[in-house]
Amino acid sequence: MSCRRIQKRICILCFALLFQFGATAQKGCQEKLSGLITGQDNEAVSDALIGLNPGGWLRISDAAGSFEFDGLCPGLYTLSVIRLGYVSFYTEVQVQEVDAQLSIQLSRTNEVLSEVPVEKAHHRDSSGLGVRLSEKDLWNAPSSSFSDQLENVRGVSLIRNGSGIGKPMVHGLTGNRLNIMNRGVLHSAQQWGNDHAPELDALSAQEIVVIKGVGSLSVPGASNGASIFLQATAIPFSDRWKGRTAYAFGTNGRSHSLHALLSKNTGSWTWRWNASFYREGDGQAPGHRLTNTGSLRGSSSLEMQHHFRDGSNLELFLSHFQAELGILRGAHMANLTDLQSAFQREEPFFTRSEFSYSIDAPRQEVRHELIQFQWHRPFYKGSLKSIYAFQYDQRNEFDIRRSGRTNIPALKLDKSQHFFETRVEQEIGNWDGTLGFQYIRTQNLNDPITGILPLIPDHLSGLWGMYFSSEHPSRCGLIEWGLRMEWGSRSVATIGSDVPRTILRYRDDLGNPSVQLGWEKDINSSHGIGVHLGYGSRTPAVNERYSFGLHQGVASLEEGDPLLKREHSFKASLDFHGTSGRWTYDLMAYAHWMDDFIYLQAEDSLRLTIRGAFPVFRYQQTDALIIGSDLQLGYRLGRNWVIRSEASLIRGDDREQNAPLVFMPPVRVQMGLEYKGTSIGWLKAPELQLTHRWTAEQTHWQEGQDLIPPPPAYGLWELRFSFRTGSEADGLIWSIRVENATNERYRDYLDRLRYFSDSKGINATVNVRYDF
Amino acid sequence: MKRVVFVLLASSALFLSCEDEVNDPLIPNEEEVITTLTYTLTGAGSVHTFTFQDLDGDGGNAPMITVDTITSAVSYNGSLSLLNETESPAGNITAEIFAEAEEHQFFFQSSDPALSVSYSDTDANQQPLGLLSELSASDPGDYSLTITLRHEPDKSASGVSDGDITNAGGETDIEVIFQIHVL
Repeated sequence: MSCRRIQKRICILCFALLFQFGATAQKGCQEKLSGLITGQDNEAVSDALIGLNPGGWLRISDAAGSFEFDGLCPGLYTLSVIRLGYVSFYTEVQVQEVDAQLSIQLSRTNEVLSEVPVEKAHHRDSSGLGVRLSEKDLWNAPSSSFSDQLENVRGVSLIRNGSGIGKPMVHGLTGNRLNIMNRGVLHSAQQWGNDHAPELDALSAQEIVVIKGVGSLSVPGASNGASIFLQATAIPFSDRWKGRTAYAFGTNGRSHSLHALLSKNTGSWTWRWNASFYREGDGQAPGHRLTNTGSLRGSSSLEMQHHFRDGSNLELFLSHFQAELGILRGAHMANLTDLQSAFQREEPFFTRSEFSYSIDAPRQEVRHELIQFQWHRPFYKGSLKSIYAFQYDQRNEFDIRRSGRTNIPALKLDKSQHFFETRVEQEIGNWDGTLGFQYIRTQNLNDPITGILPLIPDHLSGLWGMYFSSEHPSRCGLIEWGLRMEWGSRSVATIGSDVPRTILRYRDDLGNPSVQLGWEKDINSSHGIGVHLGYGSRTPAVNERYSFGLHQGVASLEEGDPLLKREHSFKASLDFHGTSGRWTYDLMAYAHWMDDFIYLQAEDSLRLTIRGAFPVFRYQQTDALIIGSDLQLGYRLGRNWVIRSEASLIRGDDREQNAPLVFMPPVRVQMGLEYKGTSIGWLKAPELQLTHRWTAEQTHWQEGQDLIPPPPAYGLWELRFSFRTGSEADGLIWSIRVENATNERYRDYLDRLRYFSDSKGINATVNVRYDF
Repeated sequence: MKRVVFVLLASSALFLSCEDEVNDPLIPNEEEVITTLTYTLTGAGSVHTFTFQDLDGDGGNAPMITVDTITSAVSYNGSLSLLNETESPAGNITAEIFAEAEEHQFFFQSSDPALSVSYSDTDANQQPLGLLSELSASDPGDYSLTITLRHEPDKSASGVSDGDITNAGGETDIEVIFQIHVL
């Protein structure tokens, strides 16, 4: 609260400065101008700053949203209304001898509420459906990669390829079934590979929302899976540049990272720029060095917005992301014999004892560019929004090859995507409706420089999407429903395996429907319940239908099947949340039925090649069921302490063969003790967090489903301590974080490097931040 | 509003009607591929060849393996030749291996000690390479011989220079098995 008051004062001050030049004494005039400021839902908007020029008059709206100027002379004035969280409003007013009464409606700038239909009903910070990482959470660990930021969200696991490469998995689903929306635009990259980390910098967003229950209908792909939203928040009004800079050093891998953020909001123009740089060398497992696991990341983004006087605004967003990622040298396997000898080793092959920052093959080089325009225009009880975005994603993967070919990528893919969306939101009586149209054109091409037949073929697709969602608050709770239709096609050109090589063409139909229904009810002021149901189908992805080639990491051949059918999914989730005295709780249970679920299945026989025998994995379909539960329980101990426990339980089954689904996350239980204290001398606002995370052994599997049995259970301790030195306005924020504090030796089931090596040992990160 | 919907639907029909085709992909020049391994044994005035040939790579048709019969108590000079027959004329991989001798080593594993292979060549560091070898069988019978080519092995690891693959590490570029009938 005090912070808001300070912000308000700063605003008044800035505003006063802005107007002081035009301020002249107005004497002898008696006219009045009064008005009422409301928001989209007709709520009174208090604390809005109302300026009137010429004259430099200034008022602040009261709790009822009303304001009044008096002593005005008749004439033409410009009225401006500025309020945090709302689009600034400008209008011209004719002040006459008759007192005028204005009625002004502001539209929100807080995109979270309008972007995410499912989220809309959830004003709680962490509902069972949407879990939100705030800007504060993101800046608590600025050096963490996008995926690492998400790891602490219950229900989210990471599929890893060592410590540097991770991709999120929500409720057991990842890759083609998990879409990421970056500022309303579908993130376009090589989603299909398990070792393809999202090319995103978490700090380019101000918050990340994970929708776990039933995905939002604005997300293309109609997969009915979960989705992750990177969102922007409104920039606080400030006439001067505000910013933040942070530096972090991590002991394991001797990582250095530098981050910067600058923003400015002059009322009609807003600017925001951020940049991050990260460098890490070889990591260290408790017993040995993790040779060639270093990484290098750099990213920058720029946001510019212009607010027009009629309340509409135009936004330009540019972002660049680049990374070079090393993969453990001992994890590059040429055939089954190599793999089996690697399994028998304590320490991976090619382990060097000396530390190095150098990144050699096997490695990945990725680059991602985004340019985006958004136009937003509010109108009576509604708004219109249009988006165009272009994305370019380049992925180079380097293997160890003969005769100097190590520097020629073994896989090189260029993906470009055009994204168009127009969306209308309109309130009709008690109903809140959203109608959107999308067109997405995607091209993904291989570069023949590799000298290797591509793993996935070239393809070009055009996808049309139309969705409608609606919300209806009533006495028996909030009812949400919506549907989405997609149509379009994909042209695919594969290179056949016969000699001489020939080109085979395919065309896939991308038509898919999805439907959603939700009900939310506050039982009383402190307890709530929600039920969500969703159905959707998904056309098999390019890799599932057409991939063909060798996967070096696991020494296996992967083969797609062009005859795969659509996957159908039905998901139901139920959640309870609330507070009771010192307790807070959030319990969510879900069941996800998938018919013709696409998965990789090992074939019985090995394939003989000149490099030896290889297991063959082929994409197949079955009927699957994933059930699970995410639980959270908090207990407040006195004023400063909170105990928080969380658990994620998940189980996947193949209903057709009565067998477990492979690579489902094991049970995870987390216990945490948090302390938020008052200042002790120079140590201001100290915060302490001690967390123990226990990951069970995955016991729900069958012999033959995996190359080696799942690793045993492990528990990790994490300690985090942060405080401030100096004043609130001009101080340093320090944070010390110790991961794997007991230097536990462990391997994680979802980490592909578990076949070859232990995971990272203890890592202490010191992070210092300055806000200005 | 109605007009917006109409324009959108009309333009969607326009886009739908022109179904774009992706351009023909360029077929990569697979110069690194090894399609054919020939192990030629010369001794007692005769020449015997053992060939492993897989022209279409990892998928498609099964490889063709040709074997021969040799005589016991004869010392044969063995030589390996590697080809990439996806190219025309065929690429000579033997020369590539020879040029990077320090980074490569062949291993010969026999199913029985009665059939043994020893190295006849070395790299610049006086460590074995295996393009040239010597093979002899002390007793008649049926043997299997596994020929492995490792890229970036640790040639100084224990036993590796004697032809023991156990501690070699590196990646397998070739692993073929020949059945050898010894009279």
